[in-house]
Amino acid sequence: MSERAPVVGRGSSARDPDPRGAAPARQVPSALEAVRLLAGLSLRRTRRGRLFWLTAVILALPVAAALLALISGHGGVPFFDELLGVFLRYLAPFIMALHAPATVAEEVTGKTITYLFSRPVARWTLPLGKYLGNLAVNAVLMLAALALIYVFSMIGERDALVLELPRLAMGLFALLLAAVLFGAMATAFGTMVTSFPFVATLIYVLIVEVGFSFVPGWFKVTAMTVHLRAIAGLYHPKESMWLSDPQLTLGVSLPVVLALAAGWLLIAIAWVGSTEYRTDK
Amino acid sequence: MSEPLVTTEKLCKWYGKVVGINDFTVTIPQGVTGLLGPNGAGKSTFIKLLIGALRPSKGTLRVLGERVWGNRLLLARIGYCPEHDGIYEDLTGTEFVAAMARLSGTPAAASRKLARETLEQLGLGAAADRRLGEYSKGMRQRAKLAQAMVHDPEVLLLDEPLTGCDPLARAQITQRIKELGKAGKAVLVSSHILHEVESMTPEILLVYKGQVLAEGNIYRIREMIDEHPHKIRVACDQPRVLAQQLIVSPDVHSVHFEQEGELVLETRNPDGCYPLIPKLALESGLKIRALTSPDNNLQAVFDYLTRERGPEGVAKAAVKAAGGGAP
Repeated sequence: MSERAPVVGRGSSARDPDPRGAAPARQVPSALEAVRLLAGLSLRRTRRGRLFWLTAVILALPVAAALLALISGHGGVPFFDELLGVFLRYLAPFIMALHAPATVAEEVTGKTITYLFSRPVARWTLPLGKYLGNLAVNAVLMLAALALIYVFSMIGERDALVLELPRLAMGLFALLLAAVLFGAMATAFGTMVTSFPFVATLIYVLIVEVGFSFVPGWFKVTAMTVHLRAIAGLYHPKESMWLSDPQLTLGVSLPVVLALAAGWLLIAIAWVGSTEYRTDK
Repeated sequence: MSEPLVTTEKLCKWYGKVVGINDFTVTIPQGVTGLLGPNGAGKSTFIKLLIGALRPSKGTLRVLGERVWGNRLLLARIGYCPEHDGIYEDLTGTEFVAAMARLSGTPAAASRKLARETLEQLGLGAAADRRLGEYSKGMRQRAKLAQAMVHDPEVLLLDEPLTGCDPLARAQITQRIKELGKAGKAVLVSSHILHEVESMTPEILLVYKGQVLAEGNIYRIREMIDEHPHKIRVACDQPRVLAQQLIVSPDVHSVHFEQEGELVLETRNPDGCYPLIPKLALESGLKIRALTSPDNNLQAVFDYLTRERGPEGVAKAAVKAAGGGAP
């Protein structure tokens, strides 16, 4: 039997009655192209979904708080730092966990995964595409919310709006990393746990990310929220005779966060590549 | 000679202790083939194995002579329409079909145009820019078909494509499937309704409880089935009077009464019996309310074949009815 070339096209058969006529030859999409297409599909769906508006409403709450602080004259650097801390420790993991169902889980429960797995694209491109699509929407929303909070917090202070820009830059950077990391975590959970992935992700976030971050001593480095706060300049280790908190710097925390994000994505990729998702239940 | 569409050898798929398909050995030729079986027979499992969504537990499987699992080049040649109703509710018809075309390798510039044309062909031109969530069941079915056809695949695997369609849509889809077959495409259509498949192709593969029960030409299979007494149920005002007249006919094997106002006769010559019943009723002044055949459905065929072969002998005694056309 002769090997078939990867280029296939319409109109090769003289008997073809297809009224659409000859179509351009097509090729199997490259992995990069598949990721881009799946990310675009995910982005389009997320933008139109209810989850988008729920996320926007949740993020509007701290923005509203900053606006109230401006009106009542309670803004400034400490207020901004406090809200940034809330973003990194609670909001970012919660919002990304909220989007865990909008990953592979959504395709399985909606049974639409059969359309994707019957296409000539590598399976691993699916979680990666979903991840990037969700990340794009949520990162933009979260960064925009933080930028607004910064403006409302600093506008009442003399020159602070300009002078504190490096603080905003580090805050935005840390928040972007939070979206990257917790987005990867949510993708992994949404790939492995197709029933109630939000609950599974939330349990993990509450135990590890929130719970462990309050534990004194070296154990707290297992919580990524600690590293993210270190990157944002919000981490202040406590000294104690028995259990002192570790010293964390950007040089330590940044590679840890990136490595863990990559780890979560690798778990998702490995899982989707070997799993038979059933849509007949 | 062209490669068969599908060849399997002792193919098995188990979901834990549940058997999806078992010891499935079959060769499906090119052209249009109907995959027939009652719900739960293993039709969808078989099709999902053909697109590589499931991995065989045991045995070999080839589509167009190639292995399936992880074979992206093969998937580019296949169009698949799933049996379920799941669809991207928040996309428009055009967006959905164009996205699937892109994922199948159609260039960006052409995908939207092709999507619209395919939807148009299936009678969804006016609804192409509406969200799929607003589509009726029949429209969704056609949108699902459009995404399977948009990239002009050599092979179409259609799992219950007529489910939920109105008569007009059924006629359109049936016609399109026949055209595709004539154009040299290999089409495997699954259904649990015999006449649905009969309207598309005489070539069938009968599956039951995860095993191949019969394969080949439907008319040959029917002839084999006709060798056993065929049941005809007659609902009339005086069934015992009619029974007296029928029983003297050499074509009638037996007559019995199952319900009030009804008789069931068994015959080895249904073609001779069907005109005889109204003739006798007319001569005797009897009123016939209904004339039905409990045998004339797929379940009866399965019941007969499984009863004749015995549950454990189904695979061994699978009917092979090669060649032959419509009588």
